[in-house]
Amino acid sequence: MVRFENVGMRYGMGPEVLRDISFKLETGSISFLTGPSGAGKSSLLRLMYLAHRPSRGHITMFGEDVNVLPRAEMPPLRRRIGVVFQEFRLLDHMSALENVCLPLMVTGAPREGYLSDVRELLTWVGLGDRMNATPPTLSGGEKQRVAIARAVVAQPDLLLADEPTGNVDPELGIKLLRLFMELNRMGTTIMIATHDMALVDRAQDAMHMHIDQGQLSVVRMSEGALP
Amino acid sequence: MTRFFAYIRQFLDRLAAIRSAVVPPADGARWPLHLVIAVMCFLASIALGITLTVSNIAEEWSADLAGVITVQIKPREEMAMEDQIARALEIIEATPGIASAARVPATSAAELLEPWLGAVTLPEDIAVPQLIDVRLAPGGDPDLTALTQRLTNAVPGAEVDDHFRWKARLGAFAGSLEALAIAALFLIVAATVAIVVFATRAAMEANREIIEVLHLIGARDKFIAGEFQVQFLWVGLRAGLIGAVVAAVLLLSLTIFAGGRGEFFLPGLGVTWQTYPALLLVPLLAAGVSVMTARLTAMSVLGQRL
Repeated sequence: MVRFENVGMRYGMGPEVLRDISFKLETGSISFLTGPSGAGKSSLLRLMYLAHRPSRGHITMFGEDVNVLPRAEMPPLRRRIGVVFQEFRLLDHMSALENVCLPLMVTGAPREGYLSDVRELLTWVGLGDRMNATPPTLSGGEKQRVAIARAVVAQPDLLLADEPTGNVDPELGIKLLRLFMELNRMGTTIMIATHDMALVDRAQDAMHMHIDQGQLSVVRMSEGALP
Repeated sequence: MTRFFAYIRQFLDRLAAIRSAVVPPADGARWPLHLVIAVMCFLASIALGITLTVSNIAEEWSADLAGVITVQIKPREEMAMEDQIARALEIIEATPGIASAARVPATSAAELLEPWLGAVTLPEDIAVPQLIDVRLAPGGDPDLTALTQRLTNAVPGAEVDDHFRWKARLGAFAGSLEALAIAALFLIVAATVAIVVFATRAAMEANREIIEVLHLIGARDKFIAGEFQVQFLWVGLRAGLIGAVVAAVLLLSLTIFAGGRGEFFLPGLGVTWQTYPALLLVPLLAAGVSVMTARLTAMSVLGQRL
């Protein structure tokens, strides 16, 4: 599903923030990406959710060569990827419901066709009574769940989560991990970037990659039990 | 009738539902932008009003003068005035393409002189030129050069005025005013385009984060540009309507203060009632220009991003 081959990345004319990154994500897999702050986790995710092109090397996503993909052909690819951003990136002037509707709205799908599904999803993540609240009035945990609901509402093939438990208490962190596991069981390929080693240790069958100073190493291939 | 109003209401409701769903309106920049576009639309309305009025009146005047020529007989010693007129009428009526010819009565001639001489009765021994009003037959095309030649040969003091010079000067005057107004309209549209380009870029910069999120969740450029288009559609319509209404009120006030005949440009040259409905085109034009400009600007800005 995702293949990186000797990928390097730099911002503008700056130094290389990722060097010689090579890995492969199989369809239906779950993996963790750990590393200290500034190591390059978010930059690697930016490449994966097509916010940036690599400076060198090759990236293949869903069989498409990202290096040469025309920008007009990016949207269909991006619709197959759900992203939970580290800072949520919810639209503050829109309600939780409208935020979650966004990925479906941009496809031009008729609103009446998905509205009940979105309400159901929000209820499932425990926000049934907060659907009409705007992000500034939501707590960190609630925002996190809205961001997750937005990332999964279009049933993406690949889910990328950047520090999804960074703003929530450990108990909610475990609940969110269960949510990701559930999605993975339904066939979504998942990659979670985190500082939280306890979270990684709970998912023993997941692949674990570590990044430091822009270089990636595989710590563990998938095996073991689920939490 | 009730059904008609129900349709209108439905249409207005639908129109009101067309709004940007994703990009929030930029409150801070809202009223200055409305003000500038409203001023542009006010100027465009005035220019349009002048163009329509001038072309309308010029057409009316030309139509009044078409099919009519005037023969002026100046008093001469070698022939009595009555003989001059009789001879002239004889020649005119014998010319093919002439429907009728009649001497302008002395009272009418006195009315023509009244603006210069006042309401006085002229002594009968003062020789004043006499006029013959000649009507051309519909579709008739008399040889006016030959007629002029025959009249001047046979009737001393006869002069033919086919109003060509007056019509030509009137046409040139109307044409110049129209050209000026059209040039002003072009400049106003160009200035509006520049304003909307600037405002769209500012709105896109203010909503950079939203645009990036929309891109990352799979929105196409057309969708994002559409959001900005809708915003500028309403700005153009609202501001255009304000500008056109203010211009209409001003033109109407001038018309009323000028004695109800609207003759404030020149005598007989005022705003005609047909001009006012045409001013409704201005908000539509403003909305169209705003929407197209916002779309092209947004697409160009988005095209520079990944």
